[in-house]
Amino acid sequence: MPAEKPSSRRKQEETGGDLNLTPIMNLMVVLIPMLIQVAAFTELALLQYMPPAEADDSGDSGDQDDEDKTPDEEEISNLDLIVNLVANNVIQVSMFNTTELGDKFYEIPESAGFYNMKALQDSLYSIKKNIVGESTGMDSTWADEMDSTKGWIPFKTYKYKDGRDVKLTAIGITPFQTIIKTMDALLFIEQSNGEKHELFPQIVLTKLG
Amino acid sequence: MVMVPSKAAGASKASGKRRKPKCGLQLNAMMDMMTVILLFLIKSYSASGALIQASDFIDLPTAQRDMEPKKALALIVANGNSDPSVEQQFGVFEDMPKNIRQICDRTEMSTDYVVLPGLSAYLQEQTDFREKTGAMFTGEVTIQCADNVPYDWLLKVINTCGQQEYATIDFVIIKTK
Repeated sequence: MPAEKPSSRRKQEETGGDLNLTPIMNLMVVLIPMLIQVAAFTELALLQYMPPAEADDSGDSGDQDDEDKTPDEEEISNLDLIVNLVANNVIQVSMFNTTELGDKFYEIPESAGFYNMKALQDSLYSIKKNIVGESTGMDSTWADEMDSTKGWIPFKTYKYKDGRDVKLTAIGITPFQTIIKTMDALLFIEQSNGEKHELFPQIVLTKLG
Repeated sequence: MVMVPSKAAGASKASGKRRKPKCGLQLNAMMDMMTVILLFLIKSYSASGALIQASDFIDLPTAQRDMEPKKALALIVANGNSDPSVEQQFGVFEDMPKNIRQICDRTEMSTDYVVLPGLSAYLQEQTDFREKTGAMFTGEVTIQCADNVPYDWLLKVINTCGQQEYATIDFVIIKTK
């Protein structure tokens, strides 16, 4: 190999200076518009509505105890909680199929022209705490229809068989946003200290009357 | 761009050679900015977001739930839009990226039927298709229901889904804090 001239060696040293940022810039210019296009600026989520299946006669979920119960005990075994969104933004709350105004059937008046969801949540929390009471144990239900949650799903049991259930009814013209807000209020309550308490997560949407 | 003459310039001038002054774009600041934007966009990018695209012609309701979107049979229930610049649609639609197909029109939604015949036929068609292709029937349906859809319409859709053994209904909502 012939020896390099001193002048050409000096030239080579000078050219190896700065990083060539052009390809990186090209990559950035392509990546950024692509990511802006697919970026989720409004975050979507799901609110699952899974009405309970009709009760069957197989009795595979601890119904054996019912046979030993007296008729009086059977009568109080259902809470029959109903939340009813009626006209003039009034919410009716009913328990034990009561239809006369009192402590088991009451109305929550409107708040600033809207349904008072905060009062409804507080009221349901009070029902859960004072009437339904503490959980009596755990049970589970088999979910084989949903591939994502296949298996036994545990849930709390209460002294009332329907201690997790609530029926939600509304007048026909009630907008979906109000229904979603109410469902949101029926599921959980978040205390001021950040604690979350389960209310009545098993919601059934039904028709009024 | 400020060009600072090098000390050696005088010497090379003296020797008769003129060195070209170095001048180029200063890309460092731009690179820093691009990197920050790129990191922000990668953070806000969610793979699950690509599973569900919010429909253009409806306003979704807001709620405080945080269940991740998932892939399932998808429907749209629309009842017009308060924004006149948006395409006004009424009824039940198949949730497709393009050429959405209407399943139930406004007249069908307003009838006294508890079950919607058009939707029922569509769901049956989907179940048959899954059976033929050997895909597992999960009984799940994802509904993008506009915030102004009346409760009557909603019940009809739910009843129809229930009748066709779609027992799990996921409503798409916009998550709020």
